[in-house]
Amino acid sequence: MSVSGPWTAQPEGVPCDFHDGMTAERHEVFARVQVAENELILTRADAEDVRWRLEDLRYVEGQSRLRSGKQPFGVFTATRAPLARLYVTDRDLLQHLTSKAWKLTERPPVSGRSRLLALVAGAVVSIALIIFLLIPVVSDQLARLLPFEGERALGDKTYEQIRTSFGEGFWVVPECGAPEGQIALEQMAEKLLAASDLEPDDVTLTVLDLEMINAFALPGGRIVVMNGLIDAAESPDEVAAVIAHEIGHVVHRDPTRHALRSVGTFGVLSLVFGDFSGGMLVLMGVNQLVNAQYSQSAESAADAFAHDILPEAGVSPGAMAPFFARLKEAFGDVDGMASHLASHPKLGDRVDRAEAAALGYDGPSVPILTDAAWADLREICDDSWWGAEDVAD
Amino acid sequence: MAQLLRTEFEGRIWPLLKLSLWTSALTVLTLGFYRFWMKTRLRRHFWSAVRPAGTPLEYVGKGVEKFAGFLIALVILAFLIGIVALVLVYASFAIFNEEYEAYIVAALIALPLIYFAAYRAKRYVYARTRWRGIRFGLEPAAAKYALHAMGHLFLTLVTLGLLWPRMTFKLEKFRTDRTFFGDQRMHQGGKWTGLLKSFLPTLICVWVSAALVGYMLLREIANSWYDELALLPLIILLVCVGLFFYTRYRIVAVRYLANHKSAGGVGIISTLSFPRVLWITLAGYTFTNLLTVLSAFVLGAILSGLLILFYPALTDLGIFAAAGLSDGLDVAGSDLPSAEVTLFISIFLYMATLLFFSVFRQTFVLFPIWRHYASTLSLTGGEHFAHIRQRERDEAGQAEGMAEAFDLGAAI
Repeated sequence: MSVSGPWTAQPEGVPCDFHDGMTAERHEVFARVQVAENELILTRADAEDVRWRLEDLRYVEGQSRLRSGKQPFGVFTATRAPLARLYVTDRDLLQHLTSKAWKLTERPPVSGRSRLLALVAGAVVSIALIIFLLIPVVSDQLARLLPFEGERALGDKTYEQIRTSFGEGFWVVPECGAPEGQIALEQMAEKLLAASDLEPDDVTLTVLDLEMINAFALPGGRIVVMNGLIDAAESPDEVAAVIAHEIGHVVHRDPTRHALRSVGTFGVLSLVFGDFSGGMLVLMGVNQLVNAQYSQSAESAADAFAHDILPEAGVSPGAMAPFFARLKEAFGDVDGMASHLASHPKLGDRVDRAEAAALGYDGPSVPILTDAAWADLREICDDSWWGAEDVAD
Repeated sequence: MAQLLRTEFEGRIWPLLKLSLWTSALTVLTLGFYRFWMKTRLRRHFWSAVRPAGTPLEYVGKGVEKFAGFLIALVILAFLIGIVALVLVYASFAIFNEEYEAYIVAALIALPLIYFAAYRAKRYVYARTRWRGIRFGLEPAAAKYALHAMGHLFLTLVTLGLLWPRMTFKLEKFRTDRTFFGDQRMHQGGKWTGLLKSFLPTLICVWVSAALVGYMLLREIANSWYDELALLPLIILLVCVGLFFYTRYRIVAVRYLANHKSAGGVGIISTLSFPRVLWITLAGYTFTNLLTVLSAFVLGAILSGLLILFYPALTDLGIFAAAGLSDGLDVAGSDLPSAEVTLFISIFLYMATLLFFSVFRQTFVLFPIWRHYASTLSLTGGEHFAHIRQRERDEAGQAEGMAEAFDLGAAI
């Protein structure tokens, strides 16, 4: 019976499309369920019958709920012929199959689970090694090798980015430069630099008109003090202590190392988390955490540096203590979420260390600036106004 | 007698919307790690909707193999990217005091890698696609493909874009001639000059706007460039027209290339229509944006209601309490959410909005376009399928790990 036609007897069962998994040809089969023999029999006009045991019958994975127009559409295969396909549109047959074949949705056992676990572990370990060992080591080396002009260019770039990102709309954060205040600031810088090994040209000191109580160093020796810090300080010595701390960062080349390290870490983390919604946010948070932890030791080293040079500039290393103590009182050690992510050691620890350093100090108790100069410094931002200049300058 | 087999398309918006929504939510909740399984599920849905001659395509890839492949690619690339990025930034600041050079060099390194990864990803997808139980396949040749692509890119650059259609054609031919359905190799017929005519409008736009920009730069050097600013709107217009024609070129090229593909006696007929694709895209994105705004608004309102329950001081803001908080609005009153709660709310709203957008885009732009591609496709020579035999399974190890890392083909 190789030819089917109007004269051949119609076999028993429901006509269905069938593919045997060997060729792409479509075969018409007549399917019927033999409950007694626990079999699905597919009668083919052009070949032997196909017999599938009902417990071998499976949905093709992911195609268990297909429809064809308004009809349900069943796509079946069998565990012993996993490439063969039977397409059923007949409602009664479908119902019959779904009630009699009880393992339709069973999946093959998962294999290679231990291989996967090993892969995950391996990936986690190597990413950790790359982030915490390789990138820091390489960026330390590169920071040391980077010529001064390169460092300064990197610092200028970062500086403009900071001014833009803290700015409002198109306006960047203005630099403060009231002439008298500028003179006072330079006086202070000169005294501090004289106490260190640095040349006066190695450091550029700028005040930004921001209310935040903060100061930071950037690559290339740029030290930025925010006006909020000058306002919050009660004596010029307190400001000098903070600046001495930042000079410590410059001497240790921390900002350059930090900038290079951030580039590497950010690149690696953006790989891990992909780019899907929120990936970016997670990324920035994690990057911040990783780099903040790195900074903790650098911060302590910068504090130690400040404790060394302050006495030579005629300032007690303890000058930091009251300032931080006031900050601690005002904001607490753990100032909400922000403090978890902040890159400075706990204020309390720093107060303790500053006071310990001050114990051995018996220098003059004359402030680093005269009262008049201190008053000038406190007014350094009075002339500046937002929107006054262009980043491109 | 040659059989003409039409492609049916059976896919509804609602199931897709549900699937897309919960898989995306899970992806966000798992910090992005569910994305491999999300992709698998979405692909299954998209594939099984396409039914040449009434038989659905099957996607049999697994999330776990994508994840494993990604892990392997991750380690290699993390090393490369971490160190290369560092060295490049260092080098460009050390030598040029600038960072643009680093971007250019990074792009030059990344470009062949992207073609390499794209080919491997295609190979994986083909190896996991079946129709009538018969596997598709793509021969392994990713490195050669990347090399060819670089050569074609160079030629295109040298000829100022004239050979772009040649590159489109040759790369497609490279892939098609290595593609199998069962044991039947596919063949890309036609000539690259067949694409040239539809590319000319784009090319003219590019050349004219490049000439205008060059002219403006010259005048700027001569210090009288304010007179030439009038050219700027013209250039912008040209770029827009160029983009329009480029989109048209892409669609026309897909159609031309499809119509010249064959596998043994089996051929393809595509009646893909550019106006239709353009309309679907425009309408789809309009709808997507409207729905995103609406959903974000509703979510914000619900969140605000919850907030007011806990922090009565926010009552004045009504349904805008959540949005106001995340914008950092100052509200008078003592009983306000803490910094953590505020941060959490703004992150939540931000992520939810992104999520809505990607889900709606999937459902109202990508799916309808997919539907149009599929339902304009017919196969000829159906009687030849009897001679096409099964092929061996291609492990295609590492799945599309590398492409995943480069974020290629982000959606499906």
